[in-house]
Amino acid sequence: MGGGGLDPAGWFLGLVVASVLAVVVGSALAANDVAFRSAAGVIEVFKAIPAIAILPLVILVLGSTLEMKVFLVAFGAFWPLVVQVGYGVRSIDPTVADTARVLGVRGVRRFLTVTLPTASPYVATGLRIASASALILAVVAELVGGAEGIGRAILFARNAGVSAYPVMYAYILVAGFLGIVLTGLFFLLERQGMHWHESRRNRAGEAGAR
Amino acid sequence: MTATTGRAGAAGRSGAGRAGGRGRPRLRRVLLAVWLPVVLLALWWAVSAQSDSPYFPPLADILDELHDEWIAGDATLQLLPSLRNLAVGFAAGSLLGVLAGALLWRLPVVRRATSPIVYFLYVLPAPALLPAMIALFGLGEVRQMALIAFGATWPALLNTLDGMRGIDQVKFDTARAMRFSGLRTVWQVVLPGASPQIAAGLRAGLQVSIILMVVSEMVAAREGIGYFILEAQTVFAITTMWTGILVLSVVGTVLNSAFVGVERRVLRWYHGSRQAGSGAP
Repeated sequence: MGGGGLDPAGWFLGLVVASVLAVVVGSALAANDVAFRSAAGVIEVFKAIPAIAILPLVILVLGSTLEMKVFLVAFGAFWPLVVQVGYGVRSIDPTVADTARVLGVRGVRRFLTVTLPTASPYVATGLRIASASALILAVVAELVGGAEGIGRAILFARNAGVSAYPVMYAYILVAGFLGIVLTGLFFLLERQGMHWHESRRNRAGEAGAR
Repeated sequence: MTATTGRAGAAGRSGAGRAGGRGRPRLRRVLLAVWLPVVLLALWWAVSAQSDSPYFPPLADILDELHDEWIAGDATLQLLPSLRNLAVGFAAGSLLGVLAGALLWRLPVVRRATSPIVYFLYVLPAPALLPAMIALFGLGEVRQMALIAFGATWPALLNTLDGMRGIDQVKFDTARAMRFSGLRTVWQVVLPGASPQIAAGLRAGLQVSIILMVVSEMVAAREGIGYFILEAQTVFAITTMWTGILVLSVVGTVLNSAFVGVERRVLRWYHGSRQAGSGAP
């Protein structure tokens, strides 16, 4: 049948690249009011562009490779994430900001001990939402762009004719289970990883009860 | 089953309200929002002017081609079937999702029985179904609409269900005490209570629908904007491909902002109350 494995590597790497970039760019922009407002429009426009529009261009430049998949996934996930990071960093408690200033916490240390913890629940929520559309884009990159992975396997099975249809449906089922595992992972990450955060402390019981 | 697409969106919006800078002069705000896109476009124009890379033609050439293909030419005809499929598929999927979500909310037994399947279909990346859809429905537009409708259904369904379950029980008790009829309860309690979450679901569904519209045209179709872009790429008409990318970007942006605009208008009472409430700790 060819086409082989699941290969969630492109999806995962794309999300990693997008979140690292989003945290860096988002916190840099949020630190400066003029920069934040200037960039907001551009980011909103890019966020509204369907990432799939650039797929044929990305295929041309990068070919049917893992890089192509990573780029497409990262492009799709970066814009909503950077918006989340921007608002997350700006949601900082003024008392915390003042305390950090009085204690002389600056630069990298401020980023690691003040900015990142403040923004992290926003990033977690953004990631959970982006992870679903990232999976869609990864499958599209395989289906249209011919990168290795489950989307291509499904297409190959269909092209192989009626006798391969059971294989095709099997792969579709696997794609669904992959979706459950991956989105479930982020859901847990958000709930377990963020329980310490101020915004989650009171909500923890409520979330558990649901 | 908490597939709340809405929570982050709401967080972003209330943040936007705070960062809105209501007191500032309008001109300054407009200038701040506009200068960077203008600079970026100028930069693109300048940098690409001498470009001899086959993949990144000069912006001037792209704009020329845009005029030839989309204004003088008849490439706009490619847009019509796309938008029609999108409109029908998205409307059908959303309607189905909201109705099914409301039904599942009223029927807890059915909800518990179906929730694994519903969740499975929600997280299943919809493009993976495309080859099966082709096998089932052939290459026609029915298949395209069906796929778009499928993608739009699940976010609408889950968010409707979530939104309706989130309505305070006291409101229903009050409605009963005031002897509201069933229809009036739906109209005055259920819909207003769930509509912010429903809107978030529809917004997520619209984004998926646009992707599915393009994918299904790229994989198997003889018309549509996705077909136009990929066809241009296949015959290496790079400048033409760029015009398609630009047009699709604009269409996507316009559709998304139109949706947000309608949402803000319809839910103005809700955002108003949120902003008033966000001042208090």
